[in-house]
Parts: sequence; structure tokens; C-alpha cells
Amino acid sequence: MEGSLYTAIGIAMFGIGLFGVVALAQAMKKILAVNICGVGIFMIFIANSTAVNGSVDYVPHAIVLTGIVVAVAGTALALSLVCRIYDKTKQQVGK
Amino acid sequence: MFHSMTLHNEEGSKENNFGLGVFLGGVICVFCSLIFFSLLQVPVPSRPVVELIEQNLASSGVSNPVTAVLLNFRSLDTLLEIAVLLIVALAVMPNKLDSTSQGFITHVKNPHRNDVLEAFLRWLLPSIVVTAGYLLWTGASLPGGAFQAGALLAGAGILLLLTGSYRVDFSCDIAQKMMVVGLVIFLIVGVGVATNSKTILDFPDKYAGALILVIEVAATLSIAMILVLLYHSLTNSESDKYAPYNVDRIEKEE
Amino acid sequence: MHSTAELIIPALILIPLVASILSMLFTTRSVQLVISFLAALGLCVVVQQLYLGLNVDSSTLKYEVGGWAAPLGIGFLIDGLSMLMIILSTFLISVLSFYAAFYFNNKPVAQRFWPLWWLLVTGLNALFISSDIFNIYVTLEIIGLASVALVALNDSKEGLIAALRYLLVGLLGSLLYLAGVALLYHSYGTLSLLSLAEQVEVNLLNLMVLILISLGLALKTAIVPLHFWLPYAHGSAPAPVSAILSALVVKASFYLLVRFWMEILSPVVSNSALMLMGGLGAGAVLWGCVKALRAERLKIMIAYSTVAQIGYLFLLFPLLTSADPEIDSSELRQHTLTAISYFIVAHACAKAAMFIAAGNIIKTLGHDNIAQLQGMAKYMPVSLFTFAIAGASLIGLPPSAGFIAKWLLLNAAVDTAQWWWVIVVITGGLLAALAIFRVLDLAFIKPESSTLAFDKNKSIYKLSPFMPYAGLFLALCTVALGFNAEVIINLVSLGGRE
Repeated sequence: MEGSLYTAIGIAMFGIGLFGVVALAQAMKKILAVNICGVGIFMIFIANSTAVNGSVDYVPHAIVLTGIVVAVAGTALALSLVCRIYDKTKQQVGK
Repeated sequence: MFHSMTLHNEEGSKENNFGLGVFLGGVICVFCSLIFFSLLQVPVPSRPVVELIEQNLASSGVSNPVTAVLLNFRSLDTLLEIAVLLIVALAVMPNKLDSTSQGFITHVKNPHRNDVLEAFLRWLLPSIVVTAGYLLWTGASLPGGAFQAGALLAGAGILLLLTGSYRVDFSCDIAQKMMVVGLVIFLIVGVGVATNSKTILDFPDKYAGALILVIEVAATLSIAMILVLLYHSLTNSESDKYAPYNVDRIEKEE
Repeated sequence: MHSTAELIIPALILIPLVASILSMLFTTRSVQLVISFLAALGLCVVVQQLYLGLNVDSSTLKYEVGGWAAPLGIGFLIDGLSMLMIILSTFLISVLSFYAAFYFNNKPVAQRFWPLWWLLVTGLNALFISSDIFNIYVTLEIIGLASVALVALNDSKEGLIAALRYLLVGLLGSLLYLAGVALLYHSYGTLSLLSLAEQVEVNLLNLMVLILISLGLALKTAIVPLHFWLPYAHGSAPAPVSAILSALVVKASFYLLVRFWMEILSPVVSNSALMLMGGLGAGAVLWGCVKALRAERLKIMIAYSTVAQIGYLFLLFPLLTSADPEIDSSELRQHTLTAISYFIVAHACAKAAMFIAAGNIIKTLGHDNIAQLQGMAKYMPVSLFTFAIAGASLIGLPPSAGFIAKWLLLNAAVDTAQWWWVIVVITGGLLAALAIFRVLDLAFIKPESSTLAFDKNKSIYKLSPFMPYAGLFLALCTVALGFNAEVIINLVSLGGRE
């Protein structure tokens, strides 16, 4: 079944993202991991948007669109905080 | 770029955490496979929503079901989503919100400006704006809509910033008004229709299409504006306000 | 279709949203203050009307946004518990707005504070009334991002790092919650709380949903061992923000946790899961108190005391079960809910008062090192008195709301024959008393030391006389609630869902 393949990929991405947020030390990697995690969840939503008789349920589609905007907002806030911390410390690059 | 920027409580080299990493990875693997197999066991449910959307699509004012869900059936989500964008815009804006007398976009002489991109944009910009308008309009019947159009417009704005010949000032009056216009129009329309039906965001069937278009146009402007602001705030640190994409700084540091 | 009281439910979201937009467009100090005053007043009127409406009908208040019924649209629903949270948030927002008006004075930060503040209120109110699990996700994000933006108003490196960590934890928490929502939608095809509560049955997938949602919300509520982000985020924010974060924002995710554990997913919840929650709560009470005892900064100490108080909230989960089959489970549930509500209200008022007092101390002295507070009571009598009263409520001394809350908890523990929680409560109370008396002893009893002499003329900032009294007012409220216990007990039983 095609749907369950996409569900599996979605769950895998969710897990990879989860691992990244928890286990990686660097702030930038954590931000990327949060995004991977989010995309995984959106994929689970979309993969399960087919009803019994093959007709399409559009609510998950709309939910994912809203979710993407919220994810963009969260990422932007995180990046701007990282930039401000960087400005404060002026750490040397690549150390 | 932020190799030494770790979170305070998790400092320490990776080697020390290797065992912990393997453990966490194992736990997450087991957990995810449990989710997957338990999902397979659950039968595909009947979705009453599917028929409800079909039945009410005609009275929603648009023929694209996704747009109907976003801007009519679940319009509160979209309203709050624009509020989320506004929060982030407020968070990254400079400290003072006082409107300055400077214009929104001013032309500056920058020795590092990108001439090729600037010339190319003379051709590209008009077509981006037209495409964004098309995406917005077509959202009523085909995939598209406010966010897609806004994102495209924001792309145009970012390209404009990349040329290095323009300086934008987001604390000016017009920029701030454009950032909130999406939310303001949404609220005015949402509460305005309540005078008729006593329920907020309950668009009358006859005018639903037009009202949704008005909301979407305003939302597109706000979304584009806020996305450009977010890009602008990330690339312009305190030290170099005038160079949108300061090549010097990066080379120096590397 | 809707009753009069129901018609004004959306005003709970619209008023703060409009206030936020207006205070962003008109940034003059006086205009922003007038807008905030009007918004607080408007919210109070709306809440009063809703309270009357809830009393008249004595059932839940419902509203369908856009006129679309549940599976298609989003619904609002107000029952006793959500009414209590709305009253609490409106009350605290009004007092703290008053305080913040003086706290920020003429600082440029205030221009961004007010729009963000009212957006946070929008999120909180929307969360308490929403009955759609995806809409709740969006409100969780509003609350999370607005809180982070408010913490980041403190433009120091430490403040920003605390804000970044808070943001990442918050995002992870909401994503775990969203994953739970995705799985629930997969099995039931609906996002409405009410129809989910009717349909949920016991299976492996729902257990996974319970784990995901509990983990996400526990991360946001900061239960030990997931509390690592709280002391720094709450400790480095401006005082009114710290107050709202401790008093309401962590309670918002806890409120959701109660909804999921006691209503929506209650068939899936097993006794051992409830015991696990209680164990975490006991750990939080002890660990939070120990860390509070050892804290060097006043605000960090107050923040660790929040960690401990959250522990008490989790201690109430195991009291939902009883080995004695004769005790009626719905009665037990009502008792637990009352105790939880009492803890939420008592802690919210006391903690807001404490952060206000700490804010005043920082404003006057320029620091909040506990060791240097020696003999300072003669310079800031009101603020330190506020700290003492609020502290008494947190310890659980009579007559205060904190005492009633602990009394209800102990009663429930004895009724359900789970005596071991009594030991935790008493030890926690003793440790909290030690922590608070350490500060009071220094400030009131020890004489001012000559090396740490405080020159009143050198004071960085002259406090407005209203600032200490705003805190004192909240502290006295905790005492008043100790005398009027029925108010909350009656409110929570209103319109209770079966």
C-alpha cells in the first residue's frame, strides 16, 4: 500500500528529527532537526488523507499549510536569536 | 558557522555523549516502529468530513476545497496563523517601533552592489509580481493562495535586497501598516459579518468569494512583508546595517 | 442559536488581538497604556458576563466559529475548569498590566512589550476556550513564540541563550503534541475534543498518542526531569513577563494535560501511568525545593519554587485512582479537579506576587543576590512583606490559598489510602519553608552589614509607589482565597462534563 510507505517515511523523519533535537549539541543543527521533525509530521498527515472509498480528505492539506507557516515563524525566531547571540559573543568562526 | 555555539547545558565533546546518543537513537527507533505498526492495525476510518466539505463547497465561495477549508471552514486557524507571523515580526524588529521619517526603500550607493542581478531583476521583478497575482487569484479554484503568493513576492523582495543598492527601513510607518494589514482586514471582515449572522467569520454565501479574496489580498501583502523582514533581520546584524549581504565580513572571518 | 452569553465568547480572543494591533501602530506611551487599560477593562466585563451566563444555564457554553459545526469547523467550549482559567488569566493580566505600565516606564522596550503581551493573552484565552485539537496546537505556538519573544526583550547574552533554549524546547513540545494530533486524526477523522472523548478506545495506537502528547505537554509544563529550561527562562525575563510565565503559561500546558488525561484519553490511562505521574511530581517537589534552597539569585530561587509547585499539580494525578472500590470514581474525579484548580489559582497569585516583589528589589538594588539582601527590609518593607505573605501561601501556612490547596491534597491522599504522598507534601512544605525563611531571615532580622551598605541616593531607579502595592494586592488575594474556599469549588463543579 502506497499510503503506508509514505507514513513510514514520515515517521522515520519524525524520529530522525527527534534524535537530532535531543542528541545534537549545536544550536543550528537543533533548529534544522526541529524542521525535519515537523516535515515528518506533515508527511504523516498527508499520507493519511485518503478516506475509505479513495476520496480525498482536504482538512489535512489545510492543516499542513497552516503548520508550515507556523514552522517558518518558529525557525525564523530561532535563527534571529542565534544571530543576536552570535553578535553578542562575536565568536570566531570554525573554532 | 556556529560551531562553537552550543546550548549551555549540553557543552562537551561528541565523543563523551556517544553512548547516550546510541541509547537515545535506540529508544526513538523502537518508539517510531511501535507507532508505525500500531498505525497499520487501525482500520482506515470513515471520514464524515469528506462529504461535509463536498456538500458545503458551493456555499463556501471558492471551488478549491483546500482554500475553502483554510479561509472559510477553519478560518480561525488562518487568522491565528497570521498572528503567529506578527509575533515573530515583532520579535525580530529593532527595539524602537517609533516610525521614522525615512522612506521605506531608499537607494544607496554601495561599492559591492551586484550589477548583474540588478539588471536581471529589471526583467524578472515584473513577472514575479504578475505570477504572484496569478497565484493569488487562482487560489479560488486551483492550488495557490495567499501564502504561496506572499512567499513569491517575498522572494522578489529578497532578490531586491541582494542587489545591495537598496536600503529598507522596516520601522517606517508604511512598512508597519503593511505588516498588520492582513490581520486588520481579516478582523474587520470577520467581525463585520457578525453584524449579519451574529457569528464571527460566518461569511454570507453570496459574498463569501469576494470577502475571501479581500482577506487574501491583504494577507498576501502582510505575509510578503513579514517574510522579507525576517530575511532582512537575519542578514543585517547591528554592526553592518548598510550592506545587505556583506561579502567582506564573511571572507574576513573565514 | 446561541444564547447571549455565548455570543460574546469570541471577544475573549478579539479584544487582546485588537489591543495588540493598536499598540503596535500607536507607539506613544500614553496611547499604549490607554489601549491596555481599555482592553483589560473590556476583558473583565466579558468574563463577568460569561460567568453570569454559565451560572444561569449551569451547563457548558458553546460557540461555532463561522457557523460550521464540529467536524468541519472549529468550536469554542467553556465549562467550569476553562471558566476558572479564563477568570484567573483575566485577573492576573489586569494586575500585571497595571504593574508593567510602571515597570517599563519610558524604556523603548515597552513599545514592543505591549503588542507581544496582548498577543500572548490572545493565545492563552484561545487555548482555554478552544475545543479543536489542531486549533489548540496553533494557540500553543502563539503562546510559545510570544513567551520567547518576551523573554528575549532582555537583551543580554544570558537572556538570549535562555530564550533560544526555551524556544527549542517549546517547538519540540508542540511538535510532539502535533504528532499525537496526527495519529488521533488518522484513527478518528475528527479534531473536535468532544467527539474524540466519545470515541477513544483502548489500543496500542492510543497509548502511543498518550505518550506523545504527555511528553510534549510535560516538556512545556517543565516537570522534573524536563524542567532544565525553566529556571533560566523565567529567571532572566523582565519581572512582569516572569510573573505571567510562571503563573499562567506553564499552567496552560498543564490545563491541556488535565483535559487529555481526565477526559479525552481517560480510557487509555492506566493506574500505573497515574502512579508514574505522581512519582515525577514527588521528584519535582523535592528537587525543586532543594534547588530553591541552594539558589544564589532571588529570581532563580522563585523559578525553582515554580518547579516544585508544578510537582504538586502532578501529585494529584494518582489520587484519581483508589484501591477502595466503594469510592465513586466521578466523585473522586471532581475532588481531584477541585484540588488541582485550587493549586493552580493559589500558586498563580502567590508566584505573580513574588516575581513582582523580586522585580521591585532588582529595580531598587540593581541585583538580586540573596546574600546581599541582608537587612534590606527597612528600605523595601512592602516588597519584602509581599514576599513573606506569598511565601507563606507557597509553604502552605494557614490562612492562605496554599494551605487549603495542600489540605485538599492531603484529604484526597488519605481518602484513597495513599499515605506515602503525605510524606512528600510535608517534606516539600518544610523545605520550601527553609528556602523562604532563609531570605526573610536575612532581610528582616539580620542587621545591615557595613560592607554591603546600601546608599539610598545611589539607587538606580526610584520605584513608583504603585509597584510594591500591586504585588501586595496579589499576595493579599491568596489570603482572601484562603477564607473563601467555596468560590473556586463551586466554579469548577459548574457545567462539569460527564
